[in-house]
Amino acid sequence: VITQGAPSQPSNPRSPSLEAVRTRLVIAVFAFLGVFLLLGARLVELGLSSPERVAHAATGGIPIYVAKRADITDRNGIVLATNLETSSLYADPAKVLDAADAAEKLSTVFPDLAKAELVDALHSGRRFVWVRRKLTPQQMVAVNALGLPGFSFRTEEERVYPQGPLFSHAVGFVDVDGRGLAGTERYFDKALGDPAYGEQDVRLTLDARVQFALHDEMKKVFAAYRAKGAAGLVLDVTTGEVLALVSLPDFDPNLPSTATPEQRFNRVVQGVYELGSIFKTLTFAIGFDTGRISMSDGYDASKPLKVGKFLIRDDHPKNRFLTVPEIFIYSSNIGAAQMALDIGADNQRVYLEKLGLLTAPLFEMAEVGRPLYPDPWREINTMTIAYGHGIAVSPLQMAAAIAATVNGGILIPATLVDEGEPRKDAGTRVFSEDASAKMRALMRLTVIEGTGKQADVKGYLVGGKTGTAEKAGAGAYQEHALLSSFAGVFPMDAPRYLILIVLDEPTGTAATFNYSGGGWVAAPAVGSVILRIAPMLGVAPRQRELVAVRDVVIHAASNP
Amino acid sequence: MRPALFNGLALVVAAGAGLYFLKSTIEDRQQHLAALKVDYVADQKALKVLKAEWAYLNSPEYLKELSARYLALKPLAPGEVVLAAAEIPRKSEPALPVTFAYQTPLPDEPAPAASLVAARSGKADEP
Repeated sequence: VITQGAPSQPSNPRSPSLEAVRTRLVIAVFAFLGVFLLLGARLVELGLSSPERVAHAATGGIPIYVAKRADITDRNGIVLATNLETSSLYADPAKVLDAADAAEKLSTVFPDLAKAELVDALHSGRRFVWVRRKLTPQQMVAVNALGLPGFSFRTEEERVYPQGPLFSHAVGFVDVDGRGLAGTERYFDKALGDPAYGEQDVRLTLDARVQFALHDEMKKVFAAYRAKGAAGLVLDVTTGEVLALVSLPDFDPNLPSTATPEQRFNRVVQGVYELGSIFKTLTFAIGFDTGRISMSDGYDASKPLKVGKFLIRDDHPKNRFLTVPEIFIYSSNIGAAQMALDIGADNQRVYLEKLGLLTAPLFEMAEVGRPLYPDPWREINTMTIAYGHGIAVSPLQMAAAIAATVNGGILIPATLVDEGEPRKDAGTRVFSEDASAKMRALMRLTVIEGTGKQADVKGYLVGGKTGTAEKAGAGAYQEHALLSSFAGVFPMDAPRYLILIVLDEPTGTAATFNYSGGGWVAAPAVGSVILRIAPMLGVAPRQRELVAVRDVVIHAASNP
Repeated sequence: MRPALFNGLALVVAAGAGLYFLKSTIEDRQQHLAALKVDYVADQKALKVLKAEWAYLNSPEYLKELSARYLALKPLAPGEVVLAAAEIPRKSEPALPVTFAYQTPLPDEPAPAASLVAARSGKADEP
């Protein structure tokens, strides 16, 4: 075969064997050329291909991390509720080698682990068993160190309330799967949990600083007077925005399962109470607005009023004829009951309806209390309702109604959600401007020289009304179980904020001479709150007294 | 070899090399971008944690504790509020009478007229 090679016979180029070699060479050259052309074409194709196809994963828009549940913030953007990532431990029973041993080892990390239940679950034949939700980083490291097969972590999100118990009732809480169970969390459950809602946080009208001032002062009196409960709120009377909302006793929303029903109960929104004399504010405003009552009128309050089997008495008896301003500032039930008769049951009912006190209010919370009122509405009911007995409303409703008596007569529904723009034209007129001006003067006088003296803070023109209601027991009112309250408004020359504090069954102390009425236990707390929040809210101290109070002649001429 | 062919080949080699460097740079950049995006998401999560921590460390209850321990701050009394910055006394100047918001009535303030106000002003209106 070698002897046939071309170089051995160069002298004869036309030999047939040489021709055959040449043909083969040409075939080989073309074959290689074809392959190289293919490679070249592929090279060009790759070179011209778009880079997107090469590295798809790295492209796309800027990734935005959206938590499974949006945040809740106060009006200044302070975080009240947020979602943070955490790890939860689960098991795949099919991969677990020794259930009893695993349970034993895990109990060294979780001393409170129910071992028997875990072993049962691991033998149940399911493919997924939660062992423990929301571990701390230390627990996670400890479980990892055990090196148990079949146990893994899953990243979950946990609802965190950095402010602790401060906003427990206002914000509410969620269950372990992040579903809102109470408060704002429940009312806005869908919007908060919907990823389409995006990073849009829910901004509340609450102000953390005001909330703390109210919470702090309420906790003091709640403890000092050993009250069963307390409710309080701060309301902007010009917009209906709730700046603070506190219900005591409260709980830590980070650990809702440890809270008792008593702690979870929202006394501001859910609870309805016969609030007592602060209701007189409404009776007087209705009287002035209908024209049935004037400042110069007066009523006989020299002895308790007997109506059928009822006896209407005064908490601060003067035992004489009282002028209309006196009835208000000394909080005479006898006088108010007689005024209500002059106003008439129908008028009273229509106005209370207009003030929203006969229906459950629209408020951004799931748990809204429904008012209780008499049906049929008899004469005796009209008389007792005049001083706040026989009708039960929530402190929230009461605050909105009182706000309408001082803000010029406009009822503005209370709200908890900051819509970013001022709520104008949100209200409906209930009282005339003139009736409202008279109420401002009377409320200021109550603090200057009536039952509300202890709420006064120099310079802020505080006005208000005390309430001391006997709580309804089994079939009768209990003389020693009181509901003591104070509704304070400041500054009275241009009312801006209303503070309502209600204490449930306070017990008087030596400091209050064992009195536990609204003027003794609630009014000083309202005064302390005003002292703290007025500078924060930018209310400048006033240099002069409310002009209108000079025009009110309090005492009857015959009175010494 | 003809110069044209040589030039052509050189061009092809140069273009190939350029393309290679370009593509490898793009790949590096894309890897960098992907890493940045991962970091960005991690930073957003960290930001959320830090915001929660900030809210926690600034919670009024905690600040009150710190204030009680290190400062002697108390709620501002109405008499301590001045209404204009010009009224704040300065060290270098001799002390001028300061108009506190509550203490001094305005000149045009009419004297309390009604007897009931006079009776009550003794306890309620004194500075």
